[in-house]
Amino acid sequence: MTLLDTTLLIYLLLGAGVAGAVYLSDMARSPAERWFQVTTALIFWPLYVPLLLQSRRSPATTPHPPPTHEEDELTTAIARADGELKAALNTLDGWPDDVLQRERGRICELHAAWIAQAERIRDLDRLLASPEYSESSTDLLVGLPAWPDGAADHVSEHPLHAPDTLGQNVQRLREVRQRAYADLMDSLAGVRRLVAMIHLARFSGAPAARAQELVGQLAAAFEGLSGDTKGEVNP
Amino acid sequence: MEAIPVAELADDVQPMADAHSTLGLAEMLLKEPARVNALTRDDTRQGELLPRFLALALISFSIYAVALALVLRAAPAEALPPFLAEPWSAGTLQPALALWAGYTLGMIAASGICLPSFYFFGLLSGVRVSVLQTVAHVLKGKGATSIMLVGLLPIYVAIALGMIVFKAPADTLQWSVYLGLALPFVAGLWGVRSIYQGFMALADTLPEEQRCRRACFLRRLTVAWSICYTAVTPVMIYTLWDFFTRKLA
Repeated sequence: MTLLDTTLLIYLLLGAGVAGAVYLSDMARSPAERWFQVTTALIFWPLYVPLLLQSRRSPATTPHPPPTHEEDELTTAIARADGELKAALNTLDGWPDDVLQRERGRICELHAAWIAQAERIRDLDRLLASPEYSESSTDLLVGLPAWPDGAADHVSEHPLHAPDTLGQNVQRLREVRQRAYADLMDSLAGVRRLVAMIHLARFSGAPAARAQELVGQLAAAFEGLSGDTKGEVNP
Repeated sequence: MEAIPVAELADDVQPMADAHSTLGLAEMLLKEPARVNALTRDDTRQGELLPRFLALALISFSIYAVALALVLRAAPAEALPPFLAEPWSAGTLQPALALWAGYTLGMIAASGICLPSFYFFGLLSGVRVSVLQTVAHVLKGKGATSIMLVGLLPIYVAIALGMIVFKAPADTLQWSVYLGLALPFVAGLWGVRSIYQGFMALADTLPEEQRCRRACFLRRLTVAWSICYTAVTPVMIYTLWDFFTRKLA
C-alpha cells in the first residue's frame, strides 16, 4: 500500500464519519437531498465540517460591523445614509461595472469624510461644553486674579486679551460647529436624494449611461464636504 | 440636486429567480449576483446553499468531462497530446472515467485545500468572516465557474468537432485539444471574479475608520489567494488524473 493509498483511506474514513453526521443532521429537506449530501460529504467532507459545526450555533453569531463609538444622532444619520447608498448601489448590477468600480473608491472616501466630520463636531461640542467656553465673554474674566495697577489697561489693548475678543472667539467656535453640522447634514441629505434618483432611474428603465452621471455626483458630494471643511477655519 | 427627468416606465418586471432550487440558484448567479452575495452572507441560508453550489459544480464538470471525452475519442491519434495518446488509443472506457474523476474531484478538492488559506487571509485583513462563510464564498465561485463552463462548452465542442469532421491539420487539432483541457480554467476566471466580489463586499464588517485602507489590503490578499488557487488546481487535477489512470488501467 503506497503513501497515497494510505492517505486516501484515512481521508475516506474521516469522510464516512462526516457523512454519518450529515445523515443524522436536519440539513436536508427531502430524502433525495439527504442522500446527495451524504454521498458528497463522503468525498468532500472538508466542505461539510464547517456546516455541521455552525448549525449548532445561535444566529446571534452573525458578524456585524463593530460599533466604533457610542451611538448618537450623527452616527445614526451616517449609518442610515450609508446603508441606503449601499443598498442602491447593489441594485445596479445591470449597469456598467467599470462605472461602479471607478467610483467605489470615492464613495469610500465620502464615508470616511462623514466619519471625520462627525468626530470633529463631537470634539467641538466637547470643547464648547467645557466650563471655560460655556460662559459669556464678560463672565470669562470673572474670577481671574486682579491685574497690577495699569497693567490691565495695557494688556486689554492687545487684541488677544480683550474681553470682547474672547467672547467673539467663543461665538466663532459655535458658528464653526454649526456650519460643520449643517455641511454634514447637507451632504447626507444630498446623498439620500441621489439614492432616490438611482432607484427612480432603475425602476423607470433609464439607460445605463445614466449610472455614470448619478454615481459621479457622489464624487461632487465628497468634494463639497471636504472643501467646506478645509475652508471654514479662518481666524 | 435637480430631479431626474421622468423616463418611460419599464415594460415588464423581470421575475425573480427561485432561491430554493438548484436551477433557480444557477439563474441567480447569472442575473442577480448581488442577491447571491447577500444570500451567501445569511447564516440561516448557508446550509441550504452549500449543497446546491456543490451540485451545480458536480453536474457541470461531469458534462464537461463527457464532452471532452467525446472530443478526445473522435480526434485522430496523431492529434492527441503525447501524454494522452497512449491511454486514449486503447479505445476503452477507463481513460474517460479517469478524466471525469480527475477534473470533477480535482476542481473541488483544490478549493478544499485552499480554503484554510482563504479563511486565514480574510482574518488577516480584519474582516469578520466565519469558516462557513468562507466555504460559501468559495463554493459560490465554483458555482459561477460551472455556469460559465456550461456556457462555453457548446461553442468549444462545435469548433472542435467541426475541425475533426473537416479534417483540420493535426497540429491545429492538438491546440484545440489543449484549449479543451484548459477550458475549466478559462471559465474559472469568472468564478474568481465572483469570489473577489463576494469577499470585497465583506469589507463593510471592517471598522469604519480603517475601512478604506484595510479594503485595499483585502483586495491584494484576495488576488494573492486567486493566484495560489490557480496554481494548486492544475497540480491537483493532474495528480488525481494520473492516480485514477493507473488505478483503472
